[in-house]
Amino acid sequence: MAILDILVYPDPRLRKVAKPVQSVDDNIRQLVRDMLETMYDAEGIGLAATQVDVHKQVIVMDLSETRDNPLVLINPQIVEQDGEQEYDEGCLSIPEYYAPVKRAESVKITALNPEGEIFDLQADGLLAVCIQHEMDHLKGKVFVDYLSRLKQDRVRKKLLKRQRAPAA
Amino acid sequence: MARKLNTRALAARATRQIIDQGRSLDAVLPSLFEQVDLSAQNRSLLQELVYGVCRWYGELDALAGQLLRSPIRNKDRELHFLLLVGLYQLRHLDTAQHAAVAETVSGCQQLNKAWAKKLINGCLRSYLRQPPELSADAAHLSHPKWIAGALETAWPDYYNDIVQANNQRPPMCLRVNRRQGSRDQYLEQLHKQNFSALADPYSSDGIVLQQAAPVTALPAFAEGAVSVQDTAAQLACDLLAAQPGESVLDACAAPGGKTAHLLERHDDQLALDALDISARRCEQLQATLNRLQLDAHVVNADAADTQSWDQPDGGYDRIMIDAPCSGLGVLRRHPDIRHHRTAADVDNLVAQQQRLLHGLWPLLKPGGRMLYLTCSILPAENNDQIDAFLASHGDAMLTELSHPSALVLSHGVQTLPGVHEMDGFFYSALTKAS
Ligand SMILES: C[S@@+](CC[C@H](N)C(=O)[O-])C[C@H]1O[C@@H](n2cnc3c(N)ncnc32)[C@H](O)[C@@H]1O
Ligand SMILES: [Zn+2]
Repeated sequence: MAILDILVYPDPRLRKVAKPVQSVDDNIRQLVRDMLETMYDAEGIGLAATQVDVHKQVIVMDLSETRDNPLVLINPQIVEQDGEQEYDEGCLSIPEYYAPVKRAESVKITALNPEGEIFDLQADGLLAVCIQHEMDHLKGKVFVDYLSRLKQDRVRKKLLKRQRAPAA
Repeated sequence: MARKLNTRALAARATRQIIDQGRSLDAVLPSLFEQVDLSAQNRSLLQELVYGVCRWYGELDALAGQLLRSPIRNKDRELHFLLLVGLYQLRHLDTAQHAAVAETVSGCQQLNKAWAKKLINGCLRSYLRQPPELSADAAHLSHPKWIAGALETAWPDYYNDIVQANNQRPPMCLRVNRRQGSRDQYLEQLHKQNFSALADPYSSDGIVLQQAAPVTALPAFAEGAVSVQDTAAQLACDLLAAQPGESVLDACAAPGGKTAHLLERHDDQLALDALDISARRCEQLQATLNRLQLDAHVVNADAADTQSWDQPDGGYDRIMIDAPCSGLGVLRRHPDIRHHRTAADVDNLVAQQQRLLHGLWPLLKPGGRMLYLTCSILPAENNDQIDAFLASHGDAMLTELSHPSALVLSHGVQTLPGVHEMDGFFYSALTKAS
C-alpha cells in the first residue's frame, strides 16, 4: 500500500478526462487500496483517481464517522437525478477552501465494485453531493468551476502562493 | 471531497481572536467569510455562535472552569473556546443536544487536535448530566466586573434590566428612506415578501423586524430604500430639529447613519458638512451616501482642530456631535465591546468628547443649537460631561428635550436597553445665547 500524491488546483492534470476501466483486475484493486489509504490519510470523505493523476474512472469514498465504511465506484453512471440542495463543499485538491455549490438532492447510479460486479445505488443528502463531486473530477471538473470568476481567481491566487511558499 | 466544514471549529477560532487577541468582531467575521464562502445557513449559524459566545463568555467560562479538571493549556486555547461554543449551544440554543455535542467534538479534528475529542465530549456530557451551579449573579458574570460595577452605580433601579438586555439578541431596526417612499409603502413590500415587520412606535421613519435578515434580502436595499439603524439612533434627526435652508455640521459623521437620515428628511435643503477624523471611515460614509443616492460635503478632518478645515462664514445653525464614546449603551449589538473596553478608555474618551465640545462651540451661530449625543449610558460621558461644559460656557443654555421613550435627566435625555426597547443613547441640546 502507498500514500499517493494529491494534485493541487490549479494543476492542469486535474482537467484530464478519465477513461472507463476495461477490466477490474489486480492493478485496479491495488489502485483502490492506495486511494483509500490516501483519502484516509488526508482525512477526506471522497477521492477520485484523477486527483492522484490516474485517469481511470475510479472513485473511493467513506462518509462514516468511524472511517471504516468504504464505498468504491468504478465506471459510475448517473441514471436518474432529482431535486436541488446546497452544501458547503471542500476538496482535497483545493485545501482549506469551502464554498456552497448547488447540486441534485438525490441521484441513482450504477457502478462496478472492486470484484467487477455491477450494482445500483440510490443516494441523497451528503452522499449524493459527494458522488456528484467525485464524478465531476472524472470529467476534469472541480467544484470551484461553479463559482464566480472573482472567487475562482481568488482561490487560484491563494493556492499558487501557498505552493510557492510551502508550510509558511 | 474534503470532510465536512465544521462551523463550531470556525466559531472557536473566531471567538478566540476576538476575546483573547482583542480583534474586533466587525473585522473577524467578514475576513472569515472571505476565507471560506459559506452557505447562508452555515453563515447564520456561525454568526449566532460567535455573537452568543461573546455575550455569554463570562458565564460559559465559569462553567468550563468547573467542568474541566485542570484548565486547558494556553497553546490549546482554541479548544477552550470550542468547549465554550459547545456549552453555548447546550445552554442557550435549541439545537438538538446530540447534534450539538457530536459537531462540537468533531470540531477538534478541524483544529488539528483530534486527541482532545474525549476531553470535549466528557465535559459536554457531564454538563448535560448535571449542569454546575453558578452564583446567583450569572447574568452579571457575563459583564466584566468594572462594567457591572459602573452600571450598577449609575442605574441602581434599572441595573438588572440593563444587564439582562445586554445579553439578549436585539431586534433588527430599519429606517425608511423617505425620499424613496413612505414607511407604509415599505411595510407593505415587506409584508408581501412575508417578513413580519411592525411600524416602530417611537420613530416615525422606523420599522422593527421580528426576525433578523441579511440586508441583501430586504426589498430594494441596494437601491437605498432602507438602512439598518436602531430606534434610539433615529431620534437624532428630530432632536437636532434642523430647518430648511440651514447650515449644518455633522462633526463625527462616519459611517453616516445619522448624516443620511438628516438628508433623507430634508431633501436638498440643508448645506451639510459631514466630518470624520478617520479616512477609512470617511470612505464608508461616502459609500452610505452613494447607496442612498444622497449628497453631502464629506471632509476628512479632526473636527476639534477647527483651523484645519473650512467652515461657512458666520458658522453653523446646527451642530451635531455624535461623539466617540465607550459604546456601553450598545453592548447587546456589539458583544465584543465588553471584552475590549477598559476603565482607562473611558477617561480618555471623556477627554476627547470635552475637546470636541469646546472646540466646536465657537462655530455655532448665536441662537443656534448644538446636539451632543453618545451611545453610552455612563454619566461621565453624558450628563456630567454637559454639566461641566455649562459651568465653563456662560453663553450656553440647556434646551429641554423630551421623548416618550427616554428618561429625562438634569442635562439631557437617556434611553436604556431593557428599560426602553432600544439601545442606550444620551442626547443633550445646547442653545447659544443671541
Ligand atoms: C459614534 S461614531 C459616529 C456614528 C455616525 N454619526 C453614524 O450615525 O453613523 C463616532 C465617529 O467619530 C469619529 N471621530 C472621533 N474623533 C473625531 C474627531 N476629533 N473629529 C472628527 N471625527 C472624530 C470616529 O472616527 C467615528 O467615526
Ligand atoms: Zn474534490
